[in-house]
Amino acid sequence: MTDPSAVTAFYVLATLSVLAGLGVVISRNLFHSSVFLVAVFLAVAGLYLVLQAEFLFAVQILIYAGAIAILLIFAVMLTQHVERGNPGNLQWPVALFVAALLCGAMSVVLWNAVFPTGQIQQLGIPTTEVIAQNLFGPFVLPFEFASVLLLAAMVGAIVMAREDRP
Amino acid sequence: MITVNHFLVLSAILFAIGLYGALAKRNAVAILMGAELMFNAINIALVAFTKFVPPVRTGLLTGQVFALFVLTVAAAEAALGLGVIFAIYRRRETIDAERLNLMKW
Repeated sequence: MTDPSAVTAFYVLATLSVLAGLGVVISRNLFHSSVFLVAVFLAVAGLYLVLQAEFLFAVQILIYAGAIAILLIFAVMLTQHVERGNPGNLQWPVALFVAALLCGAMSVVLWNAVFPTGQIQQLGIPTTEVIAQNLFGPFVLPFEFASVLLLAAMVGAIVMAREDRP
Repeated sequence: MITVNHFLVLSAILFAIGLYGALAKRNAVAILMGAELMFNAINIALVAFTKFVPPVRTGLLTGQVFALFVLTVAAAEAALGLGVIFAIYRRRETIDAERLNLMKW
């Protein structure tokens, strides 16, 4: 991908997503964390657009930045812990060490890895068509399982969250 | 010049940030946010792979289909996780993961 606009867009969106991700874990206020999380979702959606995945771009904005972010903000609001901050637990130094180690190791390995990069696909057609052919062709069984999973999650969430009645 | 390695390194960095958030936070909602960050990092890697390293045998855009499934599981996980958090909060008035030690040895 040598298009200068794509290169610029990648660096801007990558910086934005990493900074907003750091904001999610560093911010003292849990509500600010969730707003930073929305910023991460939008930046990742932009990265999908750089990767010419326009269907995933729309889905990311609808489901992540729309549904999941709203759910998380509801949870933050309803559990009254906003004013008590977002402190780390007792094991945060270990967690920081593990995360930094993983980040460093994976970055070095992935940066030096060589992949059999073929010709980069220039997908002129809308990718929705190819995704639909995949979903209803070779992946039809996982697709049906996904709907069963969503139904089970919906029923389970209702059962979990409703009031206990005798 | 952007290669697949750029996207993979970005994915690794985001994954590590999400891992830190999931491991080091007290609040259960913050732990869920860390998990969502990790899901996003993985999705970036999948979509970048299907763009730069086209799958030969399984057809085009397999990674995007995988990313869709990851997204489905993430949505189900968020809904269920928040249901569990609400249930815990109603009974125990806290969602501090340090104090949810009922099943600890």
